[in-house]
Amino acid sequence: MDAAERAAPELIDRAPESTAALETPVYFEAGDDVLLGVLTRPSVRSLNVALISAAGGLRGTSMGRNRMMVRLARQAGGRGFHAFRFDYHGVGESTGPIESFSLDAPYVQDLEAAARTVEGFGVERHVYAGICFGARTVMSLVPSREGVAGVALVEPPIRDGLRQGRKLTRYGNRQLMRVALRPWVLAGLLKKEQRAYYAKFVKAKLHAARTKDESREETDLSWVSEDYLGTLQRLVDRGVPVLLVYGDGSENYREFLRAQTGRLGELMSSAGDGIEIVTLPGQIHGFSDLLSQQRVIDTIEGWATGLFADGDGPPEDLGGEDGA
Amino acid sequence: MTEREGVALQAAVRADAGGGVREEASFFGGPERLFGVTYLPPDPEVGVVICSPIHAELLRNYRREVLLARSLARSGYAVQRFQYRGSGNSDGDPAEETFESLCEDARAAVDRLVGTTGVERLVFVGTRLGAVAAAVTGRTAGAVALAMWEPVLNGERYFREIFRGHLVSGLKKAEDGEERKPSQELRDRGSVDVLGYSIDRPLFESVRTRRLIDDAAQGAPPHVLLVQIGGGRGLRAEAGSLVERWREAGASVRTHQLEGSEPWWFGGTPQISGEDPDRAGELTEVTSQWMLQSAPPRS
Repeated sequence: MDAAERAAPELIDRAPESTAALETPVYFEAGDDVLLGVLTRPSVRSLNVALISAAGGLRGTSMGRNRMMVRLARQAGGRGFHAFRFDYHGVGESTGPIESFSLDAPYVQDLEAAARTVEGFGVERHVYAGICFGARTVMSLVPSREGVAGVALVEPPIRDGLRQGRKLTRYGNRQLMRVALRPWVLAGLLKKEQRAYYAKFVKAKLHAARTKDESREETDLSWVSEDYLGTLQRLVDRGVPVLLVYGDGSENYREFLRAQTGRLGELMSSAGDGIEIVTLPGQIHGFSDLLSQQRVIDTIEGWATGLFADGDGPPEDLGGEDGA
Repeated sequence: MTEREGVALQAAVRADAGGGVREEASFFGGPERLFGVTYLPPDPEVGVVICSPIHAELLRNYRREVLLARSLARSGYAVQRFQYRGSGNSDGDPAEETFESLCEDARAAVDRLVGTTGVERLVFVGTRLGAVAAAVTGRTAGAVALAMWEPVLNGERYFREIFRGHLVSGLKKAEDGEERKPSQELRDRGSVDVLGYSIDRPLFESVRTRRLIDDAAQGAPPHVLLVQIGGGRGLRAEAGSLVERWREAGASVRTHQLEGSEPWWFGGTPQISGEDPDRAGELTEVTSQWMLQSAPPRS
């Protein structure tokens, strides 16, 4: 892997963060629905760049677990960024029916409407930050957008339909052990119907092992998403900086590594510094501990700040209450 | 941005299609600002304040509260939802959250609703710990009715359940050889990380040492609804005792039990993850019907 790779940063010193006093709720239309977003203005001299975040699917709202996305927005505000977070349609404060989150049907329309809304505030350069489903939503949108100054992708699944379409029996034994020890899986043992599902799955797994179903995946990389590869390639071609953040204990990361033997490996080699990969300790997907939450926030904020460290962005004082 | 009573509000407004209801999302209060949404039907006479649960339970219940608020507003009630300091989009340090601060924030939400609409009759709806905050705040605000969804009536047990989540999480992390004893960690460090939420000593002490069931029972309004999720046949002992005390005090009490269980600290947004997709509908229906009879939107 030749793309720039580094380990987790030390937790960085906190700059004065933005607060709710610098935030404005915004309703905006996306298709037939009205979504709620919150614009955060910087607490220091403005870079005139907005960090637009796309939340993961499972936790739903734009706040994220333990209001992680709120903290990211306010911390970024302390570094001169505007920030924008929003609820997808059917989620949180937005209108519309609730839907499932499918990786091959990301909510691009919602994110695009959010980006247009931010432009309406006069901030036209954007850094996008997406988590899991949100990362794939960002990947689906950015190739068609102008003004993309950077893309931070946290735990982007490398295959389409991981949650929906992947046969569980294709998990390796070690992967299975990790999945089995997840809190919500363990909690499922308390439910009769969930226990029945687990039993059914174990039977299927044993059957798959007998038929040696697993080994094929090591050489056949057809499961790697064409969208994932295509988007990364287009971003590299356009010179858009990309940050990939994975937990070294996550299944997404293991699949990311396995895929290096194919086109992804070639892409990474050719990308050079264009793609930066940060691996954080353990399992960050789901953000089920405080340390991993803060590490991800610091990683995104630090990387985004670094993009403009040389005065690359057009400094323009829009900070404080008088800002956009 | 709008200006009202000399206080700058950062607000966004949208009109609900067809219903004549306006939704106003704003930051209000101060110096630490609260995020909230006010639902404004034309000329409301009764206001409803919704007190959320906290930590993981906040996300779990989030959409249900939004759907309830919209339903009530369509029926003619003005509704105020809000997020406590230290949670959601509001300002504040979660480490400073206490039961008393939850009630103070609920009081700020009352002020916001009354200041915006002029309503004089108030109904409170609360979930889990928010249900007890609703009862306490409702008492001082002269509430005419109170709905409690799965109220926390025993602080010790509440934290025991939360720490169970910590222990389950600890099983996963035991691969690293880390020892996890939440009560010890809380004593030693002043906080404990439970599934990505910090449980801090001020909240722990303020809840653990309270007689929550007394908080809920004292000065009950004329109409009370208690919703219990799961628990087998009949109300749990503490809920049953609470209902008795309400009735002895002359309140009109309705109870409702939902089937199944509610994994407050596990899983994602229930409507998304496919767990009990109709629960939000049932909660909304039961609460709306009770409110229409107990505190009609028009006198």
